[in-house]
Amino acid sequence: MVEERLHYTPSSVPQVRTAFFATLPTGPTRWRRTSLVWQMVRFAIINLKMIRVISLSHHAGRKIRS
Amino acid sequence: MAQARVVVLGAGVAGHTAASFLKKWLGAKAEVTVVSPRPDYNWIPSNIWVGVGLLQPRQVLFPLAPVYARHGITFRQARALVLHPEGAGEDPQPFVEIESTLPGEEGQRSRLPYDFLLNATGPKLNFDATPGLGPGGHSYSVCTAPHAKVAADAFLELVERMRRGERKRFVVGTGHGTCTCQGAAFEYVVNLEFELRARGVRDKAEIVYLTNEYEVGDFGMDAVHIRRGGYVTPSKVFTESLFAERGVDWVTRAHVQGLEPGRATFETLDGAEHDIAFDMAMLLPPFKGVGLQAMDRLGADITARLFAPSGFMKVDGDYTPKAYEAFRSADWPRTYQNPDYPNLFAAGIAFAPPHPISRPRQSPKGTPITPAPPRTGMPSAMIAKAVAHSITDMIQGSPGPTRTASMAEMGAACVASAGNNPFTGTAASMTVYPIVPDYERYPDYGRDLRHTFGEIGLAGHWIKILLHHMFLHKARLRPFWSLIPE
Repeated sequence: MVEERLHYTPSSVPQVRTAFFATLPTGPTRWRRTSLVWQMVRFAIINLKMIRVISLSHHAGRKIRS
Repeated sequence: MAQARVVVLGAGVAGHTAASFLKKWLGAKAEVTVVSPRPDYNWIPSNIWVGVGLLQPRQVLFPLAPVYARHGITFRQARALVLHPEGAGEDPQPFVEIESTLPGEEGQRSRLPYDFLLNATGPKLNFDATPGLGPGGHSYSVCTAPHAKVAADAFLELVERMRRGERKRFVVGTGHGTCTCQGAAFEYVVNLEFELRARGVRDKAEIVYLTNEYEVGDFGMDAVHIRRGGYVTPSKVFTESLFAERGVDWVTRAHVQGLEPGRATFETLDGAEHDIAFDMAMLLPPFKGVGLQAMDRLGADITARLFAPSGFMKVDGDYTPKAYEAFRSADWPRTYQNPDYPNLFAAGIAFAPPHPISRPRQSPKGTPITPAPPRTGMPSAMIAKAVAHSITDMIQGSPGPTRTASMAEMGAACVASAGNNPFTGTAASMTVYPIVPDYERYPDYGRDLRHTFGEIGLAGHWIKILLHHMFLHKARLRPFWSLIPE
């Protein structure tokens, strides 16, 4: 609970969770996130994925068929 | 043929996009008038960086009047007060009553006649819904550039005190059980954490994310599922991971009841009441309509006919109250035309969503703790462009709207900054398709998992920087602006 780690005004927040049960990235995963070469590749891939969704969405705005 | 008069209320993402395309497509065939109470355009997504002292307000704002003057759009710095969609008395000409906010002319009222009107006023930031919430109370906001600047000043002052050895607690999140825009609160909390690290005082800070979401990563969209590492994983897992990695604690399912100096009280979905002390709180307000009224030609108040109780305008959605299990993607508006007045449209946050996207929940005391549906950014601009197209075609002879832009048929691409640095910064890049889950087409998760993805990395930050410059270029209507997608 958060109160146990505080050194000032205690508060009652019993449902503040510890991070114990959260998934955490391993070292290589963290390294890849800021690796310049890998991120240049991801930059291209993410852009392609986004363009695909933008393109699908613009099709949603197509003309109403009479 | 006489010039058609098109009035656009609001100059945010939706209003500005619609006005720009209307003028581009209609040229001399229409007089396009934009009414906005503020003189500037604000690229709101970058307010996050203003709020941690990395940008100045002038870097996310620019004056609208010169841009509109250059492109033949009339600009009235005023707020809209009353719609008269039937005209008044014997005169059937529809008009809107406006009140000037121009310095020196404040409070002067006038009538603005229209043939078509687009309501894109955005929201009223409803700080009053929670006692003590907001810059006039005991918390900060990043909803506007001036709000974000005030937040930055407070943040930087606390950084100085932490450098002198003091410990501080930051609470970031939503200030009411029905807030939307959790993405902005998420971005602010991770940017704040990043800046505390960059300034060498992270060990002196405790950071708590306080949200009305049932689980973190809900974002008002009933969460997002993506395929990753051999599993279909909900956004909760990724969001918790990001927080845990950064040492950010989180409180979910919370409705903030009130704030006093340095303390917030809140109720959780189980009905329990809590309080939390803080040295700085950035809590987003809930949204409501800007308070536009409407009258028929005899002067009778028809506001309740045109607007939902939230103050947002009813359009062609299905507003029949129904249980979550009965929600259908087809309930969502397609053309954004008002059912009673065919020359009246609403776009962006100003249209009334038929129901939440996230499952509605309330505490045993009856307090609703449910995120409202997001309709900002890309969907807002796409809706505005579709409406502009329909109005253009109707002025040129079409009997009704010609374009649709249902949030149940469109996706969204979104980049949430998690730290601003060209080499060590990161951002979460996400696409969701469609925004409103369609369980008839995609029975498992309501979305097409081939086009719904998310990842965090430096590439996302580069994209965020690119979007900042690209969309400001587009909003300034500089060369080739219309080629930049919404």
